[in-house]
Amino acid sequence: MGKVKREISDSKLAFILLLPSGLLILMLIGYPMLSNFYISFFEQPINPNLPADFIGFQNFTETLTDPEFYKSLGLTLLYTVLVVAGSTYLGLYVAILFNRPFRFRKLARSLIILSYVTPSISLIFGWKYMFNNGYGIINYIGRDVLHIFDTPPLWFDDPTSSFVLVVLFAIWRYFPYAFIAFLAILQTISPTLYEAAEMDGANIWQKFKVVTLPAIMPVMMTVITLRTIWMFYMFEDVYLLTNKVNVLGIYLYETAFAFNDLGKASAISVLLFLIICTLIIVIRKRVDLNASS
Amino acid sequence: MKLKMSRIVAFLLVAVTLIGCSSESGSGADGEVTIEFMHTSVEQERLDVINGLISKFEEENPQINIDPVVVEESSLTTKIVTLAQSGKLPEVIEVGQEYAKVMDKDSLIDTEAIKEVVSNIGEDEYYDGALKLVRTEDGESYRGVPISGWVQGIWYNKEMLDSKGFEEPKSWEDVREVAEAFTDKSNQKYGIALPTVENNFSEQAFSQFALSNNANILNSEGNVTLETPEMKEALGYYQELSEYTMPGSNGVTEVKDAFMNDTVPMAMYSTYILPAIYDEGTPENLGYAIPSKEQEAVYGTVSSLTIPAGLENQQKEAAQTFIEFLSEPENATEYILMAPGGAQPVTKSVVENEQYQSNEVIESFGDLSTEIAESFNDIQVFGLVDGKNYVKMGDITSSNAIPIMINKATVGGSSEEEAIEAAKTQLEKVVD
Repeated sequence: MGKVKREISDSKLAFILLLPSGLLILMLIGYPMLSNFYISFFEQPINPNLPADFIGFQNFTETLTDPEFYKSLGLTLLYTVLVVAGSTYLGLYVAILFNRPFRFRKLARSLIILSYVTPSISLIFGWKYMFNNGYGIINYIGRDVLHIFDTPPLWFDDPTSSFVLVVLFAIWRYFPYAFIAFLAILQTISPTLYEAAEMDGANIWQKFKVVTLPAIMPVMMTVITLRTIWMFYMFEDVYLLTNKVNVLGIYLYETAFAFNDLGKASAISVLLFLIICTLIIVIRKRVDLNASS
Repeated sequence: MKLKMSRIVAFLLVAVTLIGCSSESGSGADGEVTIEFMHTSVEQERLDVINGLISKFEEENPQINIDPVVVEESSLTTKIVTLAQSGKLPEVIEVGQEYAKVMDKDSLIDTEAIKEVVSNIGEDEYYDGALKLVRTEDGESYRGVPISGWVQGIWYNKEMLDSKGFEEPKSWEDVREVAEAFTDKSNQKYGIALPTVENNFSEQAFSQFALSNNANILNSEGNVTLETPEMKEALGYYQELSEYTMPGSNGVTEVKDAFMNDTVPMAMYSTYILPAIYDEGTPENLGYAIPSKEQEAVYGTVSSLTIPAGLENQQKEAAQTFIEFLSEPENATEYILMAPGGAQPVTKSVVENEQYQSNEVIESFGDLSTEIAESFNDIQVFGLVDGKNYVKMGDITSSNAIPIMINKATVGGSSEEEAIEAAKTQLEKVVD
């Protein structure tokens, strides 16, 4: 009897402790979401005192029939897949390399995470200077030192090279997040497991497949899920680096703030929300499958 | 224990409620009023000047408190849209003429309140060039009270031009000749630093060539006129001139760097090049030319202080008092001298002000300072046709269609017809 009472008061306490954060989430996320959903059915002027016209699903149909939207969606999906795969792979690779004692390990670890902790804007300026068409160091090395090309490519003016560069930038910028997560979990794997695998005659790849991968799988899925969400909504990195890679974040921003079409921008964000939700559900399903197998 | 728990809960709830509240403008019971002033002077030394002016104002007007809201220039428009949506626009906003049009279109500006301020200060006080940029489409009122401005033209290095026997380039042909003579691509030397980037900078630079050839984006009926022979000729010329500029999309940084490190002898830039030239110690070597074909066309912009629509009377009057205070010659001079040389006066009283004239940067440029100040009256901008300042030009600029057209023609390898056609299609979405 006493136990039951205790359990009730525990759940009450939990509820009370969760209440403020629940309220905050409702206020800061729930309300804007609902408001955004509501606006997506209107032709919304910037001035809230002017009447907003109800136009039903017109914002959605306009978006869904705009070829630019699909171009942008395709580009964003490709960008997300490449960056998530690249940054996760690189993070894991470096974490495995670092998961052993060597001199200056602490210093090396701090250097590795520099790109992640430095503010975007300074890194972006650094890259823009490196690839500057006039005095960038990349052109200097390629043209004047190694003579790879006479006329250097217009790095951030050509859609293809711009895309490659924004992907490389994002992989380099975000792999330390995966690195930290993987290093932490790698350190929890008991060395005896590897010793046992070795005694069974396992090679490096087999050890990775049988011992490492199952152990890091939950972390890997979390890293992939979060990184997918973050990359799918990416705006500032791409926007500040180039005008030539029109990912969905930029498409949305331009609709809202260049064309001042707030209703359509809201409709786009509702669509993005649905797309990313579906994507995440698919990814999570895969985790469950893996877990059950 | 129970009491403690309920206290904790009460505390947390209060904390949550307090997070949602912040200091906001409003009026107190004792007749005091607090208004917000949103400006873009984020640099510490400029902030000090603005905060100094605010303190001085508050001393003179103890009933009015000013709450400064400092915003990066690049995020100003985003801020305005979001604040307008929630009905929380600050009572005084520093805004450029282009975005003032977008705000005016959505009736976000109290043009009558601004008209009162301008007439209290005196329309005659202002340069015509400054007032016409902020005049409303019906010509009856204003979208903002001009506080400072800048003009843009072709800056040239006198010594470099001399070395090849050139004088100040006066016409399109002169500019092309000089640019061609100095271009040596294998040694990365170019003739002119020309904006080609996909943002307003290119639109502003191109507008000078287009308008000097009588090509405006809108005609006197307010219709888009991109396909005129004059516009095609101007874009063709700009495209040709871009052969003599640095490769790729050139923005503010590239153009300024190329001019400052002698990669080019000429650059299209605003008066904000002057402080850098002063720091280099070569003000006497700088020349200023205006693109000219059928006529001369100077591009310029004014930064104005605007008052949003729908304010309570007390707030509105406080905003008007504050703007009038900032426009007083002594205070306006201090405001302009935050960026001496870069920011240009918009009233004659500032130009005549002793503090302005004795400023070492202004003095060092000698007659050039006067020449630049006077060019304010020759300002022509896209969308200003026969004195009518079309509000839809704000949307056209906002849509970025013109810079994309310029970038396509100069960097993207499109012909001028293709670039114009693409811009026309894009503008059809924006303009009814």
